[in-house]
Amino acid sequence: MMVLMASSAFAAEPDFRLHVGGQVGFPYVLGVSSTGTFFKEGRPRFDVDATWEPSVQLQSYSLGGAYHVLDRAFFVGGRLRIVQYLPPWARGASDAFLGLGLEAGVRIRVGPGEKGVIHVTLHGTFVPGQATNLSTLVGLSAGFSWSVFER
Amino acid sequence: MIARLAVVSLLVCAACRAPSPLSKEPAFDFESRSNPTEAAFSTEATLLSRWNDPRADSLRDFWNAGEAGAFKGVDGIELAWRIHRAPNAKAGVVLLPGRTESIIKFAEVCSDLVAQGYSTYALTLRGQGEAGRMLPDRDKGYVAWFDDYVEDTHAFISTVVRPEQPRVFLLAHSMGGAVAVLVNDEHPGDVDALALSAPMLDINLGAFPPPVAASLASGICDSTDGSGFAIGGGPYKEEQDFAKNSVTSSEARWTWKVQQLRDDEQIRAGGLTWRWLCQALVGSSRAQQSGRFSSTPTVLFQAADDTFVNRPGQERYCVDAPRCTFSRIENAKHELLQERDEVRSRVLSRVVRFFDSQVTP
Repeated sequence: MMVLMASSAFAAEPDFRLHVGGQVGFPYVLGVSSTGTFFKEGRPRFDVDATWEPSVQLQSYSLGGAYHVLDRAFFVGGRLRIVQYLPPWARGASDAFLGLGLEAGVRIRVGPGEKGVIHVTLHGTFVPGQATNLSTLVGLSAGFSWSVFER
Repeated sequence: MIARLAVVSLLVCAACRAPSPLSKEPAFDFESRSNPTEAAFSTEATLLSRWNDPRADSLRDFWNAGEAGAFKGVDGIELAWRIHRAPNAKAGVVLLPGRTESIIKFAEVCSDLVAQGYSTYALTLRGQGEAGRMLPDRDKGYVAWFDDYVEDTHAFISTVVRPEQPRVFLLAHSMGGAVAVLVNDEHPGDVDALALSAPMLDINLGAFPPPVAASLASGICDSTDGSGFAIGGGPYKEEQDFAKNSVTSSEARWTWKVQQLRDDEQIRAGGLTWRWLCQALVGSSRAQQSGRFSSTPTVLFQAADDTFVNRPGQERYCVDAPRCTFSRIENAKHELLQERDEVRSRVLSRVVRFFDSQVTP
């Protein structure tokens, strides 16, 4: 009986959820993202996301991937960014650079059915094509997203 | 080389431009010309008396005899200029100062260049010196976009200098050097040769590691209007002690600068704002990386004891630029054109020899 109940509860857990959300941070002040989370035995294991961080100066368009260590909230990940140091409306050229990032943080599932996710992420980006002073950016972001699709 | 260019192109898409087709040329040999000698230039011993001398041939009278004018730059900011014409000039030399500097500070340089047969066209950069300000607080070192400096200079060259000079050279110091490099990059044909004195192609961020400084500045510029003084900045404060200055080892030229600022409060400028720092970081980085697109004969002077700009940025630019000659000046602080005679005369004699080589190869 116990086994059947557990099995039944287990079957209700999704394998995949798609979240959309927003974030605030530093030095990228605002961001919107879409994150896909892959679950294993009811726990998140991998995330992939597409994130747009527009702001007054810095612009970032990125794809990220993360692994939840021991299937817990804590994760480590990598990020591929296109970074522009000036916005499209800046006077003068606004060159785009490829950036490679590492990040670590937590994504905590909250709310009814644990459909909400609160995240806090510490990140660093290395921009190999940029001059020394701007070749490394470090920052912090925090945000909230909500599941809009699952299967 | 091809692999390096491919990697650079992949990592940076600077409008996906092709680099200069020229291959690296041999450095200009300053010793290939014997004139002018270092003795041909103004000296510290007479500077202050020449400036303050009431006679009609004083340096101050030379400066005041120049044609003064102004024009509206980007967003209507008023920019002052002063022209000193040499009879039968070999060429026109546009002078661009560094951050906080006024053009009157270059009176001695103008006098020396005119004596060598060059007409000089000194331009103030917005937000400092004799130029208009963008903020009500005149002390704040601010610029909306670094490119505004570039477009102001381009407008000055194309409307004031080019119409009367078929050959235009540019002599620029520090921040003016970054602006000069970008003018050359964005408006090819504006200048026929560049001489750069300690160009600001890589800002020394002091105690802050670059990742911290760049991230902090970007974050503040992204979340505020950036008009506040950056850490360590503040209103103008008169320098009191020559021993504490870190830009020149010439006490006479330092004293002259302090006197100018004491005499005219309109040319004073204080510390830098966050916005200026953000814009200067991006502008100087862009300038540093633009060497590979340049086909303009260039000479770059590096001050060995510079504490304001980092040397690797200058070296990178000159290695990448096919026609750049690199000249490191030992025992010299940042302001090469305001340094003690031994340094300043060496730099100026090399500048003039280089310019002369462009007039008569």
